[in-house]
Amino acid sequence: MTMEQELFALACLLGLAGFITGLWPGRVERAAYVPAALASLALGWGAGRVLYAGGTEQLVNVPWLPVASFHLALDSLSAFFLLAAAPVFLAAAVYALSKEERRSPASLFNVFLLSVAGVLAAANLLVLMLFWELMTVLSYLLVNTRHDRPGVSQAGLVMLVMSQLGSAMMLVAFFLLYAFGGSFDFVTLHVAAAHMPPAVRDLVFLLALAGFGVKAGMVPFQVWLPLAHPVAPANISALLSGVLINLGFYGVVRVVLGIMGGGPSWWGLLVIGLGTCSAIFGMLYAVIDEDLKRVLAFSSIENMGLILLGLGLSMVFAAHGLPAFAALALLVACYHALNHATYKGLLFLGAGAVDRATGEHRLDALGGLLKRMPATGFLFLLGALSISAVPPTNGFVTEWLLFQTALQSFRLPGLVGIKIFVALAAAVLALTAGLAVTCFVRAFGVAFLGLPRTAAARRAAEAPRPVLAAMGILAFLSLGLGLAATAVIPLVDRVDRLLYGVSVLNQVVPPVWSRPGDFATLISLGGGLLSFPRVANSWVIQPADGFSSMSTVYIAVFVALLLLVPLGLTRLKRSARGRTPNVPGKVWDGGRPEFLPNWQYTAVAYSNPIRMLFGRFYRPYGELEPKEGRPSVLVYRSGVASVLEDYLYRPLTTATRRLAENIAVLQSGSVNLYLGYIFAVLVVLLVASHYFA
Amino acid sequence: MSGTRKIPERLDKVLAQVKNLVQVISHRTGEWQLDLEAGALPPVAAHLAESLGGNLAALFPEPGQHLHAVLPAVEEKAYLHLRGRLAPGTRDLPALDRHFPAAARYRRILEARHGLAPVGPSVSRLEGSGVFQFPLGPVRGDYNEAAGIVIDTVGEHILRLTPTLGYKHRGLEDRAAGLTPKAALLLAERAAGTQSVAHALAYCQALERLAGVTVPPRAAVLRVVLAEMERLYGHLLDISLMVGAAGHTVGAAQLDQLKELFLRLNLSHFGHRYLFGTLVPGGVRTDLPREAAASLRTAVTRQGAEWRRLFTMVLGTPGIIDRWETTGIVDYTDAWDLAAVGPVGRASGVDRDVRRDHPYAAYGEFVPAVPHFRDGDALARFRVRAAEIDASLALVGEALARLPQGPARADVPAVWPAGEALGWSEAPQGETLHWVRVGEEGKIAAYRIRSASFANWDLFGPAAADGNILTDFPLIDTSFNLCCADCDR
Amino acid sequence: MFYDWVFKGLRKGVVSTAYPYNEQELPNYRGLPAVGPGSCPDGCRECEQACLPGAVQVRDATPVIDTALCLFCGECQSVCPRGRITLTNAFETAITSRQTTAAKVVPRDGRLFAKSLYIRHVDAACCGACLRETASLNNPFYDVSRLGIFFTASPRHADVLLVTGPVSWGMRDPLREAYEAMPGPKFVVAAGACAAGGGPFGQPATVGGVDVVMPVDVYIPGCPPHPLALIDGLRLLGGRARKEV
Repeated sequence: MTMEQELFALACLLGLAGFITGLWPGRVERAAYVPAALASLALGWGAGRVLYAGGTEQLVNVPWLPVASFHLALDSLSAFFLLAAAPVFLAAAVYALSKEERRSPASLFNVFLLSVAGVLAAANLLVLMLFWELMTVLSYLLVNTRHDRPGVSQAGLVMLVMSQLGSAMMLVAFFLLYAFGGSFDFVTLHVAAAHMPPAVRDLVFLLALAGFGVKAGMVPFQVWLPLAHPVAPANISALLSGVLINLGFYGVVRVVLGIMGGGPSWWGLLVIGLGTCSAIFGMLYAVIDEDLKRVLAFSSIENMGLILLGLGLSMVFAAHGLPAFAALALLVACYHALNHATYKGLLFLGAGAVDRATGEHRLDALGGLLKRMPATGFLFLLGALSISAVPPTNGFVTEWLLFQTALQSFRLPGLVGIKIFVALAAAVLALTAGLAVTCFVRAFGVAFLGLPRTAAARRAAEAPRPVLAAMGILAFLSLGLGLAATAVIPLVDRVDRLLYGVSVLNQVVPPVWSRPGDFATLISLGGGLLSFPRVANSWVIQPADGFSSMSTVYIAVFVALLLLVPLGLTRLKRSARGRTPNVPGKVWDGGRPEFLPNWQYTAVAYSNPIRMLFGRFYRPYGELEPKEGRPSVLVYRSGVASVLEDYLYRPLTTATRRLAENIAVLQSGSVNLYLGYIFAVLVVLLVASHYFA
Repeated sequence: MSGTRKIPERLDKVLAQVKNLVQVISHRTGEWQLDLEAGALPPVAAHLAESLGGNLAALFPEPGQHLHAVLPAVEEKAYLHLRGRLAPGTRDLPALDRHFPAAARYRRILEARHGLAPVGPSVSRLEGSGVFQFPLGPVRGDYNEAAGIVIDTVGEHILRLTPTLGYKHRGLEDRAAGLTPKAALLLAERAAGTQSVAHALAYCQALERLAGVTVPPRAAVLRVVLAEMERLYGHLLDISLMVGAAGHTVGAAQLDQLKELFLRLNLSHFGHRYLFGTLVPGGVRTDLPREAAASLRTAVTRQGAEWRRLFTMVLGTPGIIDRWETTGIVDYTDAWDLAAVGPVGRASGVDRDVRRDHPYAAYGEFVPAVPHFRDGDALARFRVRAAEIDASLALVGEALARLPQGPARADVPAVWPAGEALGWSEAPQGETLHWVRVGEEGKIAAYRIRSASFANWDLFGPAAADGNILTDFPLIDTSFNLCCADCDR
Repeated sequence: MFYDWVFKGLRKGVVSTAYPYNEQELPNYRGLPAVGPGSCPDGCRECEQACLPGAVQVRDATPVIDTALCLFCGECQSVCPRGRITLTNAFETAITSRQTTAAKVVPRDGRLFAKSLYIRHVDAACCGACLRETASLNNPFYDVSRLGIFFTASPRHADVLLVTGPVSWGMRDPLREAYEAMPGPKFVVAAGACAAGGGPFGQPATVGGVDVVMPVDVYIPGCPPHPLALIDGLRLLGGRARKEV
């Protein structure tokens, strides 16, 4: 057995052990998270080794069904996403080690981990489907942990129904592939797919995009995300946003690029369009929502939109014969998926810590938490900075690269229409980036800064150590992925090598240290500074030669200098002049005796100008009414319209219900009628078999 | 002191219906005083208001003695002063809230006056997700008077605005008790510095009517000149602030310059920029020589031409006009119910002006043109003030041209006779009422002021909340330009 | 219309006074009262009784005037049987101490603010005249920004607390809060008779003048003090002599 196989086996054993341990009630149950953490470490290590080696590692290949064997293998794509999932699982497991009343059941957690590994390691479509369904059911159960609370069961149900919808579409796609390709195996299908008729290829593409897109939270299938996230326990929410939606993306890449090898330009444009819509839709709802967890959920939709945008750009570039830029775009998309997993996981764990400490996750019930939970607040801040793409975090790296990649559209030959379309997508991307900063300034500011708005917020205490440790792991990773970006890019590049057969490493991270002569301009701009430690080609990241360049390490050093030098100078000056004591002063409020918490801006108020600006989209309403039963009190009722629900889902469900009511007349309850149905169907079948035989 | 004047026919008919409740009727020029029991005050006042078409103008107590209510009778160009006798030892005052919405504000102030700390109206809570309160504390932005204002808002929209007054209570009325009328004049002038002439006029006229002193014609005309000079700089100040609030600092500076020129005219011709110390009971303190009158007339004409140029320019600046249009609308019903006065009331359709309706000084001869509009927004208030500036310019020119010869002040008794009387004037902000009672030793026994801003403060909240956003607040504030000093006294 | 405003301003030109860098006179101003030579009749206290705020006191057969309390109303001038008191046109009334009116001491750290002085104006319970005169400091005629004097709305940015009006009970605490909110070094200027000494209102209806609540660096008597008098008082804070640039 190779090292990777050993690690994989170890992970399975640990998962099993965790499952069994988790069935015991009491403190033993909590300990079952330890094998889960270890298993995720093992999986991550193994995946890392496979990715580094760059090849495909066969894990298990045993005969199973006539049409497919039970075949598990890790190629660069699977290994990358497994490596992206492992830290989030680790953090979620460590988080759950803290004492908490309604924690997710550890046994289910362990099996869930294994099912996710199974999805990623699947080497044929049937195994993929098997583990996919297992994962779906387990995720439903985990989300439904607190099913006694109002709204939880409905949210879980919506999630399950949408997942089944997606699975149905995926199944049709898989069976189409089997029918025209003759096998479920990835490698075999990849060869056969090139010869399939274009109509079939298009249909498979659409079904796979829609089916996996449900899991990825792509518009218009994203309804389950903002429902499921707030009701799930915090570590499960972290997994939903950090792992599950990445699996949806993995599925799209696997089928569309891995099996079908890309397609005509319109495929990519459709993906760009859907990605852009997801991005702007998610962000517009994130920036006005009042619930911290739902804000993060909508932000996940936005980020998945960005990832799909990258994928779409990749497909468009590939369709127009620019493999290097197709690879660049795919690199950005995958890297962003990795980054998003780390900082979104961090943010959800932070939201969970807040929820535990105060019992609230409405933004307008919080406030002043930074003074009461400094470590949690600091770590949450790091997550917020990353997701807002503030340099030098990892969020900045991928957002910057995504912009730069979108700008490369000028290289597309001819075709002004496509260039304009991509340019528009880039403009919407800029808008969402700006709204993202607003969103997280608001979320952090209202929740952590200022004075506590309710007694619940006043009661908050610092989170327990396992929670802080879990957040710390993800924060450390997040920072690391940003600063050491040039060391991470070679790993992501393996995915490109697999899917496009092209390596863009030297294009994205120019080898300034080894070939300084070729990069004179870059060096003159400072790109040759700090030539140690030599972990990669250099510290510089660029989309292509001579276009633009950036370095998170240089930014970090510069920022550090910018902070430390004035600090040092003032410290020197102060010791020379003699210390004057710092006196805490009262907030200036126009001379009133005390500054009251309800004089602070609320989350709703902060985003009110945005609500007014995008009024045509939100259709906001607000009215003052006397309260029922107490007419001396006035109540301001306000809200926004939910676009997709009002214009898509409600008409659909109403139509479906009406159709069902009409068909229900068939179910009359009369046995004679049922016998009549059976007779009629029999006659039809006999006639049909006569004609088609 | 009863007069022998015959009661006008209409008034007589109306009073006949409540003759059993009203006890003694006495009269002075422009004021009919009716004595009655305090308990009968609400129904009588309601009946009078309904029959004569007026609204409650003032309400003030003398704790333990009387409750005074003042209603205008416009046709007769008179005020009806109802004096309700309180039962000795009682602290309760009869409530007029049911008939007069404006009475609520008097009750609030009365209830708050036990202590000297400011108390806001008991406000119903405003609930709703995202609603928070934006306090503008007593210490507000650059050179604003001290008033506490709390804005309930949900970000940009003003849902409700609640002013809290009382921070500036100086105890002016109580300080006046025990002073000679001449000494108390210094206090009356300083009730509000930018309406000093109006307050001094109302005070002096109350004393003169009490003692039966007739002001000589020259003094009466000079009083008109002084009052209109005050109105000129006052309205220019208001308009300059309004233009500044719309963000047009250049326009505000130009209007400020013009206002400064008027203040300098006051200094050079009357000895004080804000016209303090120009009035005495019986007339004016110092006469205006002929050359001074002529130079004043020329200067006012020249500056009037400058004003018209600026007015046209402001009207032609859409950036300013757009911000004033439909901002801070006070509709006619609210204005009428809450007894709005002055430019604020006239901009909403309440066509009342004390100079025309209850002529005093020489206003019987120099009748001012009183503009009024119906829109009730900031633009309407600007238009009213602008029209009043034009009218004042004309009035000053006319008055100075036809200044009669004669003494500038009448002789007044060394010891003021006892009694009580009302005095009124139209300040730049609106109708101002003073009531004075002189005791046996010729010293002030009781003194009450009902300023114009007092009447208008209750309109400020509804005007601001009517769909306006936070950036409209300075515009509404300056278009009202309410004075806190003479409210809190 | 835009051009109208531009050309109007250009045509008007500069109207700002050069004060305090030149001498100014206000011929009609009712300013500082001066006590002439001679002696009072025996037991005559007419001026003292006529003065509402109690600024005039007869000591050793001579009227002594506390300029901080004086309203410049001229009552004492009109009742004096010997005409000893006359109101001059002097408007430069600023003093740094009520005890020794001749002293014009520059406060410590005053030179720090010679070129730039930020003022937070607080209306204690002013009638409005002093407030308007303070506001007039920013109009094109007086334009104190040419002297480096600016008004700010935040006490945290302010060097000077300029108070107008007597301190009412309602404003005592907010005034104190405003003072506490200012970072040192800071100064307090009491502008107007009411702020300087309580004016005609006095206790117990009001707390009194500003110096009852906090130490005052400069008093500027007047009712209201002329804007030029305010400039005179403010330049005292910065330790600027009249002819300095």
